[in-house]
Amino acid sequence: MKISPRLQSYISQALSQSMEVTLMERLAARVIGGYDLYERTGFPANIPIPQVDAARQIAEDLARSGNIHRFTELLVEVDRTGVMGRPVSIRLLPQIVKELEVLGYRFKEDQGIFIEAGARGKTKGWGVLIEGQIYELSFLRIDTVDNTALVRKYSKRLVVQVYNELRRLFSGIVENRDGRLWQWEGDGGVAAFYYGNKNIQAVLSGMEMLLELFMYNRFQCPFSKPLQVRLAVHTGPCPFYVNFERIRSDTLRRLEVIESEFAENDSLVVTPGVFSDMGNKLHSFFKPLRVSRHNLLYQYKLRWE
Amino acid sequence: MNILVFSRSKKMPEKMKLRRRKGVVDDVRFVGLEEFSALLKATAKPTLCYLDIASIEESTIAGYLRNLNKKENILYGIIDPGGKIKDVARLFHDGAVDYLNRQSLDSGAGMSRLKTVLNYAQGVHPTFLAAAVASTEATRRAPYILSGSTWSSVVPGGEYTFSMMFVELDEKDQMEKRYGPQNLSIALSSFRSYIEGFVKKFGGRMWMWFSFGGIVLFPFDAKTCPALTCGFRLMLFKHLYDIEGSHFPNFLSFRVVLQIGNTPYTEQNTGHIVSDSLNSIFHLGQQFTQPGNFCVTEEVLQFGHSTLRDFFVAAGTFEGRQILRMRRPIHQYNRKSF
Repeated sequence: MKISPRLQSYISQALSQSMEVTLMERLAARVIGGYDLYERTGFPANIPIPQVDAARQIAEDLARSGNIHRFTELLVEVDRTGVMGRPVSIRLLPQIVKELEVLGYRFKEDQGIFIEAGARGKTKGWGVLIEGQIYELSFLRIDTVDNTALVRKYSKRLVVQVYNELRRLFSGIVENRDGRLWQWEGDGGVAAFYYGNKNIQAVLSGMEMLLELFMYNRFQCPFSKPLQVRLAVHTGPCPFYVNFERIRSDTLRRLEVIESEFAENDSLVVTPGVFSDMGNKLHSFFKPLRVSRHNLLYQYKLRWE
Repeated sequence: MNILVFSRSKKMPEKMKLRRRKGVVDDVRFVGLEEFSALLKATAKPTLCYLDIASIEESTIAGYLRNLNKKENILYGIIDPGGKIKDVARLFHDGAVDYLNRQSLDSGAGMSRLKTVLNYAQGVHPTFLAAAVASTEATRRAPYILSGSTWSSVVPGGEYTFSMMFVELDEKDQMEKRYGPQNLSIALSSFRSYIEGFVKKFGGRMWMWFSFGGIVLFPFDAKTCPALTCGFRLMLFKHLYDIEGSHFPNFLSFRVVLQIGNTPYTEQNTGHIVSDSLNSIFHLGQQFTQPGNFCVTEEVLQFGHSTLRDFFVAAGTFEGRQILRMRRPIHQYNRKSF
């Protein structure tokens, strides 16, 4: 993420004019783990760091680590709710938000987060994730049922056309909920969710996909039988690499096992970690599915009266 | 309903003794077999087809039957004076509604046989007959004043035929008590915006809105009915709105009704409009349609996307019209439907 000198300057001014050094350092440590201002500035530990120097150093470190948008989200939160019950008004906040928007981010007021704006293109890491670092993510996996039979039965051109339409449908649904398509391999793929209620976003995307596929089969699908898919959602830590092949992740491995072994055709299954995060309304759509003595999954399927 | 007889025999019209009859048969045509594919493709109205297989090679009969079976707006009978069909019962299992051999032709098929055929068809293909009745009524109803496929030719002050949609929340009497006036007002306004945004994708325009629901108009060109797909999707995707968009804390229930009707179109003072269609859709929505359901008149199904027909079942008669109801999607695993 490229940071303009003006944005860095606004951050520096906002900090120095809005709070004391200890609070600045505490906020910086919330986005840069183990942040030590004395170590960064080189001031001896027995000398208080001047506000301006502390603010300048923090702004510089935030820019270098690519965390300015995360820090700005924190500033917005502090401005709205204060710190430990004490109100803190952050100066220059509108200018900072505007500068980030110029850089291609959109501020989602309801969630208090920045995400990439569509006009500048969407990247796999939302323009925020750093290669090699591990993040807590939710994943939605989709796979076509009986791909081999379809490839044998229909012409290559027709199969490619249908799979392209499936991909377009899937990525559209995922990106509408701020998810990103991390991988697509012919007849299926994996989408990642990082922002907001990421488990809920992944689950709703999966449910919507089943419904959209139902409509696609009625209106557009050129095959003689409806196209069927299996879907699964799982959440957990995963390293980020733009090149999906480089990712080694137990979370993704488990997701694949769940989808291929436990998801029925035209169904979505979610793991208990995802289910517990979904809230009562969504819970009522899912049926518990005992897959082994100790393991439960939860299944959603569209049925008709 | 139309009747279309494919035969090379010039004596067939005389033998079949079929004719137009008001309210039942709009048109009867006898055509050669060479027109079979083209006419079948072009047939949009509910049609009873007869295929004379006397001059068709036995090996190609199955292909003709496959084509007849494919079209949902077609019922068919087979004319087989030469006795080529060995397994007649199989024909009926596959969807035929009549079979005429030499004997039946010699005794004169006629209108009384047609009545028997339609009685039989009512049991096995009820949606076809509902559509057929609608089609026949449509030819007798007030003429369409087509508003077109878009809004471009609709001028305020004129009278037009529209696809008219009624949407209203259920249990409206208890809502104010349950949510409080301020919360209710916010939730209702969000519901209205949702409906407005949803119908817009299908060319629909919110025309009237009362606190808990309103009337949406879609331009109508007598060729398609995107409003049917719109209503279908509204019901299918409702639960996603409940979770993501709704400001109501619990699951919503609403009724949707769709009909085709004429009305004067104005943009202001819609409360003063006098229109039978408008009255009728309010009656249908408020007196007939059960909570949580989507009902359509049979005329709508005639123009809507044919693949959606299987999802509608007969719901009864209201003010002289056959009403069909959309089967409800079941999303919640522990409920029958919602």
